Amino acid sequence: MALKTEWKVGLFIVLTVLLILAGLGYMAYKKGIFQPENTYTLSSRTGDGLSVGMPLYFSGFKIGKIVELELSDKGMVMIKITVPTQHAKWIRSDSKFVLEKPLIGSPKFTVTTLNLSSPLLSSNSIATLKEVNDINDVIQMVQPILDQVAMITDNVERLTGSLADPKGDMSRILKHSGELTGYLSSKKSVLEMALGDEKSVQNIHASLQNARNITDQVGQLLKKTDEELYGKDGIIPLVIKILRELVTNLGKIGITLDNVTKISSNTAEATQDLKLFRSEVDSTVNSLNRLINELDKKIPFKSEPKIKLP
Amino acid sequence: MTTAIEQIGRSGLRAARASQDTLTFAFRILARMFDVRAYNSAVRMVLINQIYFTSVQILPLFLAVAVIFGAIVIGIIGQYLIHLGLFYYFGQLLMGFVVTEFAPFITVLLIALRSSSAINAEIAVMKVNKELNTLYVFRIDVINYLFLPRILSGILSIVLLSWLFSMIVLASGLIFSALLFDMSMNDYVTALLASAKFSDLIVMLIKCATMGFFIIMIPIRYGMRATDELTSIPVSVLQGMVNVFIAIMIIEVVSLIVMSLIEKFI
Repeated sequence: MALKTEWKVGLFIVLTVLLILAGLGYMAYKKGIFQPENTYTLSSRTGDGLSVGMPLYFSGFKIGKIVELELSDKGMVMIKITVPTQHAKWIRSDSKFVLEKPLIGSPKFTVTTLNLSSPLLSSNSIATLKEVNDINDVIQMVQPILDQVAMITDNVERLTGSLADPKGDMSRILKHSGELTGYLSSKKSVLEMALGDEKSVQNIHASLQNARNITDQVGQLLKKTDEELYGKDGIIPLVIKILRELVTNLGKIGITLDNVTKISSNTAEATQDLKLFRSEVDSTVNSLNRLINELDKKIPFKSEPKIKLP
Repeated sequence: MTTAIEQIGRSGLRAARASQDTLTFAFRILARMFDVRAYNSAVRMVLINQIYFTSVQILPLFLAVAVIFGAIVIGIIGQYLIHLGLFYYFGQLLMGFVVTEFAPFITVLLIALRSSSAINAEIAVMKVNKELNTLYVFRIDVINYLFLPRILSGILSIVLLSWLFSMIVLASGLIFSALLFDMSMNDYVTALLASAKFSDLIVMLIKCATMGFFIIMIPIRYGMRATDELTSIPVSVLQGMVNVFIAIMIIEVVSLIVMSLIEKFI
């Protein structure tokens, strides 16, 4: 019985311990506890947002963690990170280490490598940690808007102050408006409101009456004129009659003018004949002149010329 | 009014004195635990028997409870997380709640119900029957012979059974999450590993050991308080068990505080 109990207890303890160790061993293996690690050192201006154990992400995957934070002699924060050897290939000499501080949520420590053919980052070199601070960026963007809002608030405050001031412009305007509306409300008509004087309103009424009378007279005048112009014995029918006669006479003049045209053309032809006749006469006269000259040369009918002396 | 205040003061003093006695007793046991001379062959024999009674005998029931409770808890948790759109946290909930909280609590509860009450009654009966006096007469150290093996058995049993419970729950979780949530084995293991922390497991180990220590030590202490009358036996068992549950709650709260502090500072 004792042996059996001891055996059972022993078996229970051994199996349970083995099971636990196997589970822990598997977990440790999967978590990379037994894997060799590379250690890198980064430097940062501030350690704000950094903590020991903080994971390092590459493309959204956790590939390492911060194991140590300390201040250097120059006041820089030295960050030691460990990365399992299997993930060391993602960390190159030109890799960028960034601490992202989002507006909402906890900071995130990431590494980005654009050129995977670059040489691996040496464990002795010290890379720089860049900080991306969403809060500060937002504040920087919002600051000008806040300045403008402050100015607007200032103006609004001044405006409300002016409105509240009993001796201010606005109060005076309101006072005047009150007086004006009170004054206008005491008038009987809009015209009186506009003119402000009852006598002027009466004058305007009288003027309007006169204008109405004048309009009536002008109407009568126009009616008479219409009769004189367009009546049976009016001017316009007479003018039309004259114009018709004129058109008839113009037709006759047209015929006469045609005849005149013919006559003038005939006269032009006769003028041509006269030109020919004249040219013939001119040639005859010229011939006679030549003849006379010849005769004059040959027959000396003339006395010798005398020379008049002074 | 004065009487009421006196009564409160008397109760407070009694509680403080009882706590002091219990802690003093606990330190005596702890001191003896690290004394190698205490472990003679008789003690080892008793220790093996106690482990057998506390852990091995309960094993079939314990395994069944682990499978059933594991399936129920994982099913309920998974369903709630899906309804809330938080299934991403399934692994964290399994590791943070089932492994580090639920498994030790159920184990401690089972052991307390079965073994603590039995030990309390056993010691009380021995006290009533003057067996403890006989051991004193024969100069047999009752701490070494009676208490130490039982407490060591309690610590060992709680630690081992809690881990076993966790492993079984996680294994049954693998099957049930595949059946209920179409979760692949790889996804399940990845989710668990992503959430598993060695610090949590170490805190769980310490918590189990502490609970194992107190859920056996307190019944022993209250069993020792039994008088010569038989009627004092159930009274001592009742008081012992109530204090065991108070101790479990206190240890749970302290462990939660310790875990949150570790989370915060490490």
